[in-house]
Amino acid sequence: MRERRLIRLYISGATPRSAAAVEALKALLDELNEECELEIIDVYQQAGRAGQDDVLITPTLIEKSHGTVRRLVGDLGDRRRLRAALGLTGR
Amino acid sequence: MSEGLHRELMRLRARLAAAEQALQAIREGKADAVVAGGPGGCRVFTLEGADHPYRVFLEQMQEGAAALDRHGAILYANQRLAAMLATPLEKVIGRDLDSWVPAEARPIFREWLEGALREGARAELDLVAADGRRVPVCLSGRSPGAGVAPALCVVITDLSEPRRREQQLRRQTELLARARAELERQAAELSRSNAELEQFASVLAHDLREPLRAVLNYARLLASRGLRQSEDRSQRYLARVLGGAERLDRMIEGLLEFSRVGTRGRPPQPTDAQAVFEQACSDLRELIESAGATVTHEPLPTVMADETQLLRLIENLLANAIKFRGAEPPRVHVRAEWRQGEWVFAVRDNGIGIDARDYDRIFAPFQRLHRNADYPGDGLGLAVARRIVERHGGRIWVESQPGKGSTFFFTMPAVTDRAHEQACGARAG
Repeated sequence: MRERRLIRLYISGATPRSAAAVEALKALLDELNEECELEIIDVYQQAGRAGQDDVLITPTLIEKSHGTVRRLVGDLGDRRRLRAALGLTGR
Repeated sequence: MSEGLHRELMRLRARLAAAEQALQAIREGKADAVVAGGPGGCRVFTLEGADHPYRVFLEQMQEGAAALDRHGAILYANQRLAAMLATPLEKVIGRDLDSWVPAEARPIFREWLEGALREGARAELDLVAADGRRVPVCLSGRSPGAGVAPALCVVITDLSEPRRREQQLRRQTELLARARAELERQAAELSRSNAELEQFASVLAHDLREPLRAVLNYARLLASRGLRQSEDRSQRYLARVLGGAERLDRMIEGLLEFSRVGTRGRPPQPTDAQAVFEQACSDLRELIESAGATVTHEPLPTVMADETQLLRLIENLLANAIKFRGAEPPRVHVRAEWRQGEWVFAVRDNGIGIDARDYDRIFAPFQRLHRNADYPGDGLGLAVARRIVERHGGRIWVESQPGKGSTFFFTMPAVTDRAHEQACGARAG
């Protein structure tokens, strides 16, 4: 069985950049229509979780699949960067 | 390496060291704010900002709170909402709120979402938590304004507790209403039976006094002139005394029976009225034969009744039908008919009939329409009959044409399925 990819997004509440990040990520995932493990973590609520991925700034996107870890820090509004962070450059 | 390059490297190293130091400070919680450069100049991001109290307020409040985008996806949810949905926080944010809304409530949800985006709206519906629990909630949403993120601020109030209390209150109110109705029924019943008792006592005193007066008068005559008068006359007086005493005895016997309807009754059970009717005919054979009466019947049902009392009721009505006969030989016909959930029995005769203004009076104790000499009786037959019928929750009435006969009607409750099962169970066990 193919391992499901884990996508974890760190945000801080419904601040403009965080809200935009959630929307951009959801839109892309809807488009891909791929089964994946999605976790969205509000660092205000679960500050302890931020340590596990060395997150310093929100929003931060972490993508883990097949032993590789990709990371995108800051604005997720740039579709090209977002796709690259999810390893989708070739598609 | 040229000196220029070397200098540049040193400068970058220093910047890197500074950056690492800054990161270290942030990581160790020693920083207050981050200064970020941008096209419009530097901006200061405080790490624990002025919005902190609002943040605490949102996180700690007793209600669920969420920020939604215009499609209903959750951009932010507080811990209370996650608990309400029995879903971990990281699985709540990013999901559409309507994924917890059951299919039948989706139209309400859609309508609420549109209304909330337009001008603010409230709706009550059930959410289905991850553990399957249904949580009744009130959704209250409002848009902070066009172009401002998030599209919608929502407060979600758990209504489980108020709903439970409402239900409890409704149950208690219902119980109270039922208790009150029962109390009113009992009060009415009590005042009715009180009035009846009063009337009964006065009638009783009056009626018992009549034979007693005869007994006393003739006994006095015997006492005063006993020895001085002829044996023949003494015998006649004595016969009057005995006759009066016997009548008194019959009346008292009737009274006892009348009172026993209430005190000696047994709980109603499925009772075969046909068998009871046949028993009554057998008990009254002498009366029937001596009157030359014909008693016929149609198939009779099984009803809920105290068998002994049903027998007495049918006997009293048959005896009456034969007793108040006309010139023709008495013909009595008994039938029962299903009418609006109960059995209506009819005992029809070809007797002397009853005037319409006496329809009610004949059922009262000792209310006699005829002289005792013409139609002897204790004056309680129909009063006992009425008492028996009323104890079974039924009604008794008469329809008649003077000279052509009367039909006495009474109702008896049908056998309920449950009573039937219980009776069968009792018989089997």
